Amino acid sequence: MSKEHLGELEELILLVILKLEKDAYGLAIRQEIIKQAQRSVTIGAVHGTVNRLEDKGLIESEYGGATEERGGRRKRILTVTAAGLKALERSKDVKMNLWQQIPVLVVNKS
Amino acid sequence: MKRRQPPRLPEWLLSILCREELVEEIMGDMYEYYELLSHKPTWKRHLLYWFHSFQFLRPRMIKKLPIGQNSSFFGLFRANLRMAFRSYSKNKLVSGLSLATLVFGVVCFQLVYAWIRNEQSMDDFHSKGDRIHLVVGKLNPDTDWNAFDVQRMFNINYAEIAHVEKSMVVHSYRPDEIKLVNKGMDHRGKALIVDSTFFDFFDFELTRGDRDVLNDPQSIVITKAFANRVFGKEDPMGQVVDIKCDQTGTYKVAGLVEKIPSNSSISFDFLVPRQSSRFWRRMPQNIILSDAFFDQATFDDDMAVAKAESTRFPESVLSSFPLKSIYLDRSVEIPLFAKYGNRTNNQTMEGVALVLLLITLVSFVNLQTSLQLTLVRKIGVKYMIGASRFDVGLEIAVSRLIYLFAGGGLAFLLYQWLFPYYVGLLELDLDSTPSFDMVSMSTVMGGIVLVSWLVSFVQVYRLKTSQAIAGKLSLKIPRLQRILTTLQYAITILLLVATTVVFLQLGYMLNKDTGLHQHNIVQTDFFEMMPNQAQDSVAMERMMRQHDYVLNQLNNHPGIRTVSQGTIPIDMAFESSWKIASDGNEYTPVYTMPADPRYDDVFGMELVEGRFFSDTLDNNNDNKLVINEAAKAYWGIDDISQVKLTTNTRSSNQVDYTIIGVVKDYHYQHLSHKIRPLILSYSIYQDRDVLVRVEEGHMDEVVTFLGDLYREVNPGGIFTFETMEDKIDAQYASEKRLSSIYLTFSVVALVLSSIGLFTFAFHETRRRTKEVGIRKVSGAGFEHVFWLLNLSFLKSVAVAFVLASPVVWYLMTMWLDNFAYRVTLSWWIFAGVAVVVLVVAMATVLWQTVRLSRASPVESLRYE
Repeated sequence: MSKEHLGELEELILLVILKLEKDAYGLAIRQEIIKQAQRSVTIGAVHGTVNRLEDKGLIESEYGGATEERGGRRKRILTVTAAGLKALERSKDVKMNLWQQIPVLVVNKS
Repeated sequence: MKRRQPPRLPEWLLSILCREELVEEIMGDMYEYYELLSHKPTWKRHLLYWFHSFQFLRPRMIKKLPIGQNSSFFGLFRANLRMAFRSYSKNKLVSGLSLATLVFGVVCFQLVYAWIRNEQSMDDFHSKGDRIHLVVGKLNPDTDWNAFDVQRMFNINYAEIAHVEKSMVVHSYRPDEIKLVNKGMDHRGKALIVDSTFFDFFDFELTRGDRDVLNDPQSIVITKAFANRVFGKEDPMGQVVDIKCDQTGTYKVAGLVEKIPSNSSISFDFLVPRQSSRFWRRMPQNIILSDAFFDQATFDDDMAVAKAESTRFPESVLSSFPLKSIYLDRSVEIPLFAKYGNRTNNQTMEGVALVLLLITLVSFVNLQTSLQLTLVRKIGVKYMIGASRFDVGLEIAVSRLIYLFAGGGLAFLLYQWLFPYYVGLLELDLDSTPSFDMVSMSTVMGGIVLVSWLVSFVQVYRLKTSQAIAGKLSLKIPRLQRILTTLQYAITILLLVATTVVFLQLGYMLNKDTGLHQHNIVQTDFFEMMPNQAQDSVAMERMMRQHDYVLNQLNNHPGIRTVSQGTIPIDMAFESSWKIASDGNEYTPVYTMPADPRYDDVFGMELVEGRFFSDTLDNNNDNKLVINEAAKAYWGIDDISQVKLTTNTRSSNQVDYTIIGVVKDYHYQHLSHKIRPLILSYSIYQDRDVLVRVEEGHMDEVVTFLGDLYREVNPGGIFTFETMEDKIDAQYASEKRLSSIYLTFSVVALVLSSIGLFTFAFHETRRRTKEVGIRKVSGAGFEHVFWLLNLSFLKSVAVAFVLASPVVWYLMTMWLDNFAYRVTLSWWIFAGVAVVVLVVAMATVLWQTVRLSRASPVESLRYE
């Protein structure tokens, strides 16, 4: 089994990349996180995490076309790799598993 | 709508700092982000842009440093550390010497610098210091400025003078004039009798009580040190004490001053509110606090107008000195001040500090570059296997940083340890400020290490790899270094000659015949200040009885030859204005001293003409004078019976004084002065100090007797005495201090310079090992090689000597010109110093050269 565990922001970003499908790049991810999770992260933090995920082999990237709104620069479009999907699934399993073991009473009380 | 461009600077920073493969993406995102912010105000937009830009500066995203591939910065750092330690243990001697030079030099520098800083910050801690002025005046234009009680003498109301905010009157009482009595025990200390506004002027730190404490006339403020002396471990606050001088009163301790800082020229043991008594006998000083618009000329004019209302001293002039200037200028001497500075002394010390710094710098840099020279091949190899210049620079930097940290720690410890000795040995008044000193030492050390790094780096930078490896490179010590060492020696020689001259001059002054008998003379203070007769006639009568009793007792003691009253004639003459009565010339200032009929016998004065005062012919305060030969020559007097002198300082109506005798010239001032005209007059107050000339060999017995007698008349008092020899020693204290400073630091300079020379010897002997081997094989003997090696080092010492001699000759001639009586600068001083320096230099290189000269060529040439 892989010893890689996903960090909270890592997991969030992986999910956002999946959701954005063909338009996942740095700034778009940040905006989506703000929208979905009401959580403000800096662009730098997103880039940092993305680079780390890429090093781990959980995502891969390729350059899209240059656009005017980026000042003639290309986007780096990110996609989740098979390993990335596996890591996400594993993380989800662990959590679901745990949730199912918690008595309903405890959750409702709080 | 035209697109707004994002700020250029953060864009540029991102483009140079971030890794190339990431730049495009990052800048694209930032560009888009800037656009997203277009609805926000510009400043907020920029702020956010900057903030997000900074967030990109993470280890993963910024460019790698140019330190070769596959190496992390910190790994390299660790490797360098290991290498540096290896190099230290391989060259223990040079590394040890480097560290010692650095620590020792910087600590010595800091010791001098601490003193200079203390002098420079004198009285700076008073926040209003720049606005405090001392009011001065002179009764006629010829005399010196004097700080007398201008307010009372001229009836001046300072409140009416422009730009004067506050005024204060201060009486200063010396420890022999005032005492504080606690539970029947007398404690003498310096007291200031001050107005309640004292703490509005001066910022002495009060640990107990508040700044208004002196508003209560029955409260006094006391320093912690004095409180410890008086009350021991008891809490001083609230203690009730009596204060006795010409006034007496009972007071309560209501304030505690933590400490008089060493950078305060004003000192006291306790403060007494002036309003607690109507009259204080000591002449006070007037101190004013001006506002920011104070102007000296305006003030002088205003004072001239104000004093015109009182017509008592028509010729007088009034002015003021900034209080801060008095310490260094010594424009006027006031009892408020405990000490004065000396500009020349400060400059000398600054010079010494600079010299120490330079010598340390040169020594350390020399040591390190010499060490670096031995590593040339290693660096060549490093270049070859792909190290960049940056790598090598880093390696050197790491090795120097270790010196900095180790040196910093050691220096701090050494400094803390040496500081008390330094202060004690040179009798300095200096507070220790560890944190500041540490910062200052680290800075200096950092500077030295940085310079040494730069020098080594430039050396390495220029290195050609091929040459370094092939051994073609000249490993000779750079010429600059040779010159610097020679200069170092020149400075050392300069300091040593200066020290010798100062010592000789000091010895000369201490032993010069001043024309006075100097041994077995004791001065002691038996009597308290004379009470005011009008106020307290009972006290006055008691005092007279005491006076007669003491003199009687003393005169009847077999061990005492003569008893007189007055002061030992060392720097105690005061100027007053005199002229020949019959002619119309102006008054000129002439030194005057009081004497009684036995004064001449105490000091063994010789009379040239006429007679000295005598009990049978003269009475106290008669209008009779004895003058010295210089005074006789000064006024061109042929026959003393024909001439009368007169003064305008003693009373307003003119009285003629008869000259009854002329004494042979004797020195009554510091030997930097020629003997000046002197007038002795028979005017002795009963409370003057008692002078006793003791018979040879009875000193201890008489001192014990004096002590017993003192305690008999002053129960609870503390007996103190001074001998004339002590006073002469004290008179030359500043020369003594100068000579010990010079001695200390010229030894330091000699040691540091020797270390420099040692490095050369060390390096040269290593470099020339093979050369010597070949010489020996060709038939050269031990002697031949030995001298060959030594002479090359001694040459630089000789050059240094030639350089230093004229400079020091000139400087010391200038210094000696300050003294009217001085030693001559003879050649043997120079010769002596030359011998000492040569011997030390020889001793330093000897060990190296002897070793090399005796080495067997078989060893050195084995691998050729």
